[in-house]
Amino acid sequence: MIFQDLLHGYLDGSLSDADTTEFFHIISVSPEKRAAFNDQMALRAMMVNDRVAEAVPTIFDNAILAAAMPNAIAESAPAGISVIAWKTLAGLAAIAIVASGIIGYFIGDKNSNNSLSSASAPTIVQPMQSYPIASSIVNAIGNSSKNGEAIAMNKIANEGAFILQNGSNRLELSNPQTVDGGNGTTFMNVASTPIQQQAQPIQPVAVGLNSIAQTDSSENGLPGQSLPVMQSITTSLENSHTRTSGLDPSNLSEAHEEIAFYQIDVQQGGGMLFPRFSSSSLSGAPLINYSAFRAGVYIAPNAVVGLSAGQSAFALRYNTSPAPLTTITYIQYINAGYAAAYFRYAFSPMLGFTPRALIELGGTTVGPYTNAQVEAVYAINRFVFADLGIMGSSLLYRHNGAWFGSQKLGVSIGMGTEF
Amino acid sequence: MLKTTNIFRNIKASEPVKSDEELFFSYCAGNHHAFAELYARYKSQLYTFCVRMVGERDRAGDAFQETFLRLIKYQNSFKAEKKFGPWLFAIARNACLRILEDEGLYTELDEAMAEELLFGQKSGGLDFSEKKTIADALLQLPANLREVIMLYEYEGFSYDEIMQITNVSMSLVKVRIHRARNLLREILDPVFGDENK
Repeated sequence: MIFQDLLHGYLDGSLSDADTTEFFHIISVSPEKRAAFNDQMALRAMMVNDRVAEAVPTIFDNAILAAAMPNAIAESAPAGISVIAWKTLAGLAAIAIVASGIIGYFIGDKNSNNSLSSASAPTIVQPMQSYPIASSIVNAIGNSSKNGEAIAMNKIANEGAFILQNGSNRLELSNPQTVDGGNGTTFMNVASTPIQQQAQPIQPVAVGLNSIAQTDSSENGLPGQSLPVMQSITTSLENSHTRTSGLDPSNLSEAHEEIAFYQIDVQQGGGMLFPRFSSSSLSGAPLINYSAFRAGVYIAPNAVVGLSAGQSAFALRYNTSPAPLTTITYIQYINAGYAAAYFRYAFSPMLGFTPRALIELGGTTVGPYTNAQVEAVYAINRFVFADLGIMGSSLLYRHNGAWFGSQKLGVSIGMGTEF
Repeated sequence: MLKTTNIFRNIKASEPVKSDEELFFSYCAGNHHAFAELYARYKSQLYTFCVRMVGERDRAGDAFQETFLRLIKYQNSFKAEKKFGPWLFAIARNACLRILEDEGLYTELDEAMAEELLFGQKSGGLDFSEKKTIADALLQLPANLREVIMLYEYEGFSYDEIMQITNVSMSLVKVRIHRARNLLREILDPVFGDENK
């Protein structure tokens, strides 16, 4: 063994008899090594003599013993606002948000100006012979009806965009002009202009067809394109004080959080919409997006409740049968703003990340909204954390007395802060 | 009638001393007196450790209080298989490191830098020139070396317990203790030099 190992082994009392003999032999023949040994023994003597206990100030005794009493814990609440008051406010706000969503669902469908209905619901009743129709549409409709084939006629309305599609025949329109045809009907002036991305939402309209055929209302009528998952832009101000279940303050990586009471975070994301919504010319547009801002408070070491607001895109679909053997499927993309209450729970850390689960319940102007996420949180520093998650959202809406549902599955990226 | 005297003293069997773990679990079950006894057992030792780690009494007091407040708040995280002493000192060690970090006084001495310091190639901010007390010399050490040498030489923890407290491997604990001793010897060389004359 080298001398340093023998020296420290001797100081630790871990040398065997043989090694001890060797060690003493070495220091007996080497003045330099003997000096090193003497210095270490002197150092140990200094440390032994330095073992003088410091007197603990009495004020610490009083404070700590008082904190050990249960009612002392409540004194750690934020100054001016008790923990119970915060929890009560958070709970009432969550109930209010969920209730407003439910109420909005029941009252919103009748008079709302949403993109699936208007004050006068359009119906298809009149042929558009008196209005110019793009020849491609006429040909598509005409050819299909001549062959007696069922045609899949899907009208996809988007914000500022209007698409008529029949199999491989596709017509993209911009700024369609609508005309009130009387008797509750609306007609559209179809022009074969390239689609332009528009920001203004349009009223859904009915298209009068001069050929009526059985339509395939299934989503198979749409081209089989997969919706690209939107890259998410995350700018969250999240605190790396991540609470985890079974938090152990003797673990330095977990020890940073524990005083955190508030949690604020922002997320951005997107995913695949169901029913499927695809458009080659719109693939570059922000079709699929989701953003959320959340503010919550800790009600337990690993549990946060709070309020959230944001927007989430969904594809809304409904069918209408304007005439026998005719069914038209509308699929419309909307960006729904939402408000919700959420509950988030953090699990024990693993592999350097903290798994979290989140569930949101709220409402949009269209109807009730739910969102569930599973996140992996990484602490960037004491005050900032980043998260990556998988989300599943659902929106319920009603049109003409019928229930419809729209779902989205995607990813989210966020950052936040805890303090 | 002679007054008889019971010549046999009724010797009351002394109550067995409860272990730290038993006291702490008793506190978790609601016995506050158990906490008071635990506190009395460890307060001086822990406060002294904090003072030596942080180097200044006011900040050491913050670390000391924070240690026990965390202990109280996260009492349910203490597992039966753990020993209370190392667990308590781990909390205190984290509290001290946090204060040192906030003050910008926490530096990690990596292996290469330690070698350079030992072989005199770099001062690394350490002062080898003047005579110092052992307390001053300890404060000259980087925090990760100071904590292990104090836990071993002052608090009497074993290598295994220090490994649990500092959450590093056994080999790294040994290396750090050895390096701390060698660095202290270098720092205190003016003192040793005079004594050896």
